Amino acid sequence: MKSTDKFLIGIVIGIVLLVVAAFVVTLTRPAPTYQAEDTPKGVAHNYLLALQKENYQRAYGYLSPTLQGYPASTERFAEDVEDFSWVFRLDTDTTLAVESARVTANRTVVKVRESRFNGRRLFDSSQSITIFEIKLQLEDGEWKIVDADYYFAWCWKDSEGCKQPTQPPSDVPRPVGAWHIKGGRPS
Amino acid sequence: MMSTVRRWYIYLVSAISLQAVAWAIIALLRNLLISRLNPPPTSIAFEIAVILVGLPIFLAHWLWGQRLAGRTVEEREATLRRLYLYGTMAAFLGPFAANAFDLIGTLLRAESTLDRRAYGLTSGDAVVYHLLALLVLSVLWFYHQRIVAEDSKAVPEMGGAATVRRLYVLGFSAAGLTVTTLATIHLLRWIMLQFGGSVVKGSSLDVRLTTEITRLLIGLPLWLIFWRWAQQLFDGPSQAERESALRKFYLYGAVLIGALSVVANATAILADVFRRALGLP
Repeated sequence: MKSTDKFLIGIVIGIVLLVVAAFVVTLTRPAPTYQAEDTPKGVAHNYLLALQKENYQRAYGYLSPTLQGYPASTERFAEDVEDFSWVFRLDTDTTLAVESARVTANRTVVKVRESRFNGRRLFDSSQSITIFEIKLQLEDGEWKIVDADYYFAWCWKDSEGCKQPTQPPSDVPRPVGAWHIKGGRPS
Repeated sequence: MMSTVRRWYIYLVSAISLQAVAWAIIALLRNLLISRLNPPPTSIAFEIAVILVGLPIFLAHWLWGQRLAGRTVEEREATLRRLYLYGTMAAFLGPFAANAFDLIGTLLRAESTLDRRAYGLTSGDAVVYHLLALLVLSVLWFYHQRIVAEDSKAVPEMGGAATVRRLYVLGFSAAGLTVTTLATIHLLRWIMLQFGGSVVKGSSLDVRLTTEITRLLIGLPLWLIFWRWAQQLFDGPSQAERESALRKFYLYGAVLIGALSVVANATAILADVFRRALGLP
């Protein structure tokens, strides 16, 4: 057998071992679990994990009721998540890791690292990393989410909320094009 | 004609599948060894899938090509085979140089490297990130280099095969020369600015020292290795090598670009001298 053939066999064996190792590492990686909620980082982690697990009831519980556009119910919250699917990354595979927290009095800014796998291009892993912030506020001894760059519908901060009731009160004139916002920020 | 079509098919499929597998291996290694990348499982699954599909396709076609090359001299000396070998080596060596540049830049804390560091990695992670690419690319490059050496020993490179080799040698020599020249110009500018920096207005002449040193550390070996190789071929027994039009094109191209740059810069300097002599702002 020629030395180049041996070299090629060595390369192939190395690749096979790598694939086996990748399987083992991925399959033995512990699944993310909920953390204690006495810290802003724990709340941010649990909120994001609840969203990933589609446990909207739990995620809704982390949202601050002081938000001007606070969703009236879990169902409305779930609808908002669906409507803002891009912001909540419903169509892409992501992993999230809470990195750091900056506490100032009763407010905290938590930094989150998001790894996203966007596509399936042959020569490019199409992986991207985004670092974004979640803002929390201490309310009655509990940390609640008041703002975030992602995983947060912008209209929750809007006094009109994400959606008006289907039938607006008859005495209020209905503004054109402002009743039902689907999937993003209106122009 | 039939064998040419077959060659195109074999080497094209080999090249595409090998590149896909190589980059999937690099991505997989990075995802497994750099915890900060924290990849989604689908990313790992995709990389494994590319390897599991691409590797058998590459092996089947490449070993087919190897069998044919072992059977006839005509197959082994085919220009297309050399095009595949040198093209694949170039496709590994180019990214190797880029990753080496970023690795050295990370170690020297060069601003240009830090500014565009992949995924906001820490310095330690960035070193591993680039080292992994260097490892995979160098192993695959070395394998193909050994195949080229075996082929050259069995059948001397002549005609089209020699042209492909010249493209590879002179192409990397030109790249190394360009990078070395730019780094030298910028370093000379940096030295000049140390003495007369206070009279320079604007930031267009700003030089980042560590970036230029990094550039020099990559460009100079690249140029020296490939240019020495070209010179050895020129000094060798082959008359075709000395009469190579590609070599002359490379040399006259380098002289032309150098002369044009000198004329353009000398004109600009002279124009500035006259402007000052005439008392213009």
